[in-house]
Amino acid sequence: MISFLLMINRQCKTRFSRYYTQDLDDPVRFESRLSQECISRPSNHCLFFSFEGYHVVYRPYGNLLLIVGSDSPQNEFAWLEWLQLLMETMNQYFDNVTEMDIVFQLEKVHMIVDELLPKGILGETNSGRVLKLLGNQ
Amino acid sequence: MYILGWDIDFGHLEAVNLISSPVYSEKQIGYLAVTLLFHENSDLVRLVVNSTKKDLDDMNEINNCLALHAIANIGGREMAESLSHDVHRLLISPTSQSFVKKKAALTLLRLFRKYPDVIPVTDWAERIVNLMDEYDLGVALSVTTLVLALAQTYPVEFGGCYVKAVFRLKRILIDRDFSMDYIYYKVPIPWLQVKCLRLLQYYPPPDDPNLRSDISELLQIIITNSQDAPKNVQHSNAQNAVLFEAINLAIHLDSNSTICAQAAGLLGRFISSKETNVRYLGLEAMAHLAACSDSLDAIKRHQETILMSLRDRDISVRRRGLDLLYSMCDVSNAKIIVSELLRYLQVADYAMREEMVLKIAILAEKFATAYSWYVDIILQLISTAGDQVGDEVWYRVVHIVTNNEDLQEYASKTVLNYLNSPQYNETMAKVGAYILGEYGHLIANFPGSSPIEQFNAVHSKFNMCSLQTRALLLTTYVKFVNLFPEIKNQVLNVFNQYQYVLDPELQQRACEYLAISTLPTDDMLQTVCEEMPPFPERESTLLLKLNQQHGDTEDKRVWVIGGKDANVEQQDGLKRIATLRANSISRARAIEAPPPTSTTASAPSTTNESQPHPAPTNGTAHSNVADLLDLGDLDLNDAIPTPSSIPAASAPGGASALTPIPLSHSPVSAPLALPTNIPLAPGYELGHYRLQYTAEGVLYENNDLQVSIKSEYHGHQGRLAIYLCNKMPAPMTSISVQVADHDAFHFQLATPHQLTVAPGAQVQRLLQVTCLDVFTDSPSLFISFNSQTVHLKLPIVLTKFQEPLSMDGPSFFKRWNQIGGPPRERQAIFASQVPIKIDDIHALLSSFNFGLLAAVDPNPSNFVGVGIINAGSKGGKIGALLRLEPNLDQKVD
Repeated sequence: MISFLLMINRQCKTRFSRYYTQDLDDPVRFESRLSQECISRPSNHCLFFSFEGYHVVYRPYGNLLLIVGSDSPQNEFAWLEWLQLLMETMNQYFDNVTEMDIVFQLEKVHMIVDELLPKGILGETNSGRVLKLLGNQ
Repeated sequence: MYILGWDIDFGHLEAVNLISSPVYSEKQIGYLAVTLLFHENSDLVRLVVNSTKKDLDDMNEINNCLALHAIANIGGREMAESLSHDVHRLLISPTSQSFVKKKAALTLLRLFRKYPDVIPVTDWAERIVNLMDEYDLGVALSVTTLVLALAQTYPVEFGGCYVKAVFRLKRILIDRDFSMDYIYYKVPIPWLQVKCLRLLQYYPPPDDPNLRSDISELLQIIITNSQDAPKNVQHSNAQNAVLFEAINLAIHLDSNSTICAQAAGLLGRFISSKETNVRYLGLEAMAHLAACSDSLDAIKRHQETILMSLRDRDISVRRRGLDLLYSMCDVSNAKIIVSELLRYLQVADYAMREEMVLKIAILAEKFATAYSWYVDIILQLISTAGDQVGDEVWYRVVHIVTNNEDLQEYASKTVLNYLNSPQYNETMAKVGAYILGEYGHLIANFPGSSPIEQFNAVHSKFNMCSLQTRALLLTTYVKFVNLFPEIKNQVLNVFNQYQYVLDPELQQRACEYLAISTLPTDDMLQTVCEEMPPFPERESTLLLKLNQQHGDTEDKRVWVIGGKDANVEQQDGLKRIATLRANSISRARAIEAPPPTSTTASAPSTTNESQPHPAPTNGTAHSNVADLLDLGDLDLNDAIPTPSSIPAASAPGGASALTPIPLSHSPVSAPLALPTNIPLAPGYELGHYRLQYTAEGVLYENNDLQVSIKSEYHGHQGRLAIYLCNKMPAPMTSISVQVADHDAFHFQLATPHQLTVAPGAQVQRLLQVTCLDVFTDSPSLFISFNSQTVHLKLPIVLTKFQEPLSMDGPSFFKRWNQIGGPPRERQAIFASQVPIKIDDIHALLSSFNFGLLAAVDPNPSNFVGVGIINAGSKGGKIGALLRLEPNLDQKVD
């Protein structure tokens, strides 16, 4: 069970955020603290850490950081690869995804995420099937 | 509702309308908007439920999916109640498409997480577990996720999933039976494998030998698979995800198996890996191994590497390294590990220092072979870490030094050395001062530690210390006066100087100590400065502190950081499932059994001495339910005979009722027959106990109504306003409020003029109470409406008719001594369930209308209370005296 999924660029601007918990009282502040923490980590540091009680796994893709956090311990590698899966799915759907795709077609990103991670729970992991469903619409 | 930080407050109704549109794209946009905009408690959710239900019944799977999506994403209680059965139907129906099943499973999980009480999952267990065999891997993954959550809550009902999970893993790994499109970088559906492996960790090892050998075969395959060199990052990550989960399972099943030995070898390779992620997880898995394994040899082989990890670039890796070192420490390697940790502490990040200090202190205590080593380590720790040392650490040192006589001399010598060094360290000053004050005489004959030198060493730090520490140092000085009369003059100088200091605490101490020291005889001084008795043994406060830090975010963990003993409870939990096959596992950590507090209360009865006083009054009784409120920190638990502290005759106020006059008190004519056989409403105690010491508040609340009370009392009369609030959506009709007859009361209920309450509205009833006699049980209250009746207890107890008195110490004790024992006095000792806080007790006793007398009892934490109860015409006026002596030593950690 995941508590939040964020896409943040290196300028600390949130491009996509989805919370699956209502515990946070000020998500905007939380995002900026978290993204600063992620960005300040050098590339040779490991991609998991705990942050304010959340187990955070993140993965940088160029200018963009994908971050998931959970309040209970998870299999970190599995989530790291799930982020890759999400990225690959978006990449195929948008045909080389860029930050701008996420900004201008936010609703599509929401749909993809809803397929892959409905309400914070691991959903479909077959990107082909997800794309087929989205293609139908 | 916000999107990207912007408030969205329009378009809600349009979204609802779009949902019922027959056009797909409109419906889809409607659902998307609803899931984003609506909060689960939004009123508009009600409008969505019906159209969602229609879509669930629809023949079109796409519509089913949209509806399921909306349910999962909004997921309010109302939706859960009205739609969970439809969701379940979709999940198990053989005609459902796989993508519908998948979504249905996850929707169900979502609803279960939020409202476990609404959904009858135990009835559905078998059907759901059977779905794990589904050929479609997407469905299997979703169902496994669902089962994973359910099995944690209902391990027995979902027991069948164990075999299914093994079977599923076999199909993937041995039969290689899976659809090709689920392969992720050459690893077949790693997420499903991980879930299955994790599921197996929630159950105890199986008894069936076939199953056991199946599992070890599977683990062997996973370990072998991991040997082939991965092509790229994704491949290796996916492989490692499965591998680490498998290793955790192997450790969980049998930490001494050959597979575990292999795993330990692999982990040894991982922790020296170049990739940070792998190092991190390698250390974590190894900590798991150390926590469960009997022999630490396999891990000790890598000790060097692990110690190196403390110098890793990444703080998270350093943290894991610390955890592992903490877990793998035993008598043989304690010296190396502790000294390495101490060395590292000097350069460690501030963020982890406090935790390190605690851990070092615990390890040093646990594995000390020689006391001198322990003292050295702890003092070194204190001098290195300085301000990061929590108070617990130095309390513990003092504790241990006091309890071990052999240690005292050595400890005194060492602290004196530290105090003589020019470095200043507040905690060190505290420890040093305390130990020298107690045991300084043991080393007084050694060169360099004569009394005056000891005094100078301590006093050289005096001016740098905080006020609190200075107070402690003053105490040390008075002990010096006792131990070494030859330096009395120097010490008296200091006291003289501090007599005029601004801080009241210091001033008071200085004055008192000066007075004691200059008394003509030394008797007083010697009594005051007697050597500390050994502390009673109890659980180390350090461990408590550490466990506290871990908090309760760990409900999903199957192990905790620490040695094997730390994990015993977890193991016990699993065994309980294995043996009892009952309820859910309670992983609650054992809570330290609360030590007793003692109360002395006197209760002379006015009436007849031969007639034993009516048993416990609930004057001070209130259960721990009330302790959920912060006021009730003093728990006078009603499971224990409570002090019937109330009725007492010693007050001269007037024992008018020495001969009870039979008063013909006319019963209040009840308009309806009272349904006295109705049991008390469940959960009535909470409000009942709370209102015993407050004048207004909620007495009772359920789904339909809320009853609150405002009250005031004068002498033997009281007035209560009872407010009934309708919480139902429908109006409340034919309301009647009745009070059962009670011998000790005369009730007068205002005639009702309103019999109906609209939804959300409230109605008031006035009740006059006159107390006629002493009583022990509270009167009953019956509230009936819409043909149902709720039976409650009115919060009227004897102390409500009590008024606080004040008197001086001598007259209190004179009265107290007049009581002369039972039956007019009652004494009870009971345990408090919560830490005792003096302020809270004070507030609580005051709200029970006791006049608290300050400075009567020589011990400031004891309570002395006096009140007078006006028990009406029959009971007369009764004085009540109370003494409460909380035993703080047993409680305050």
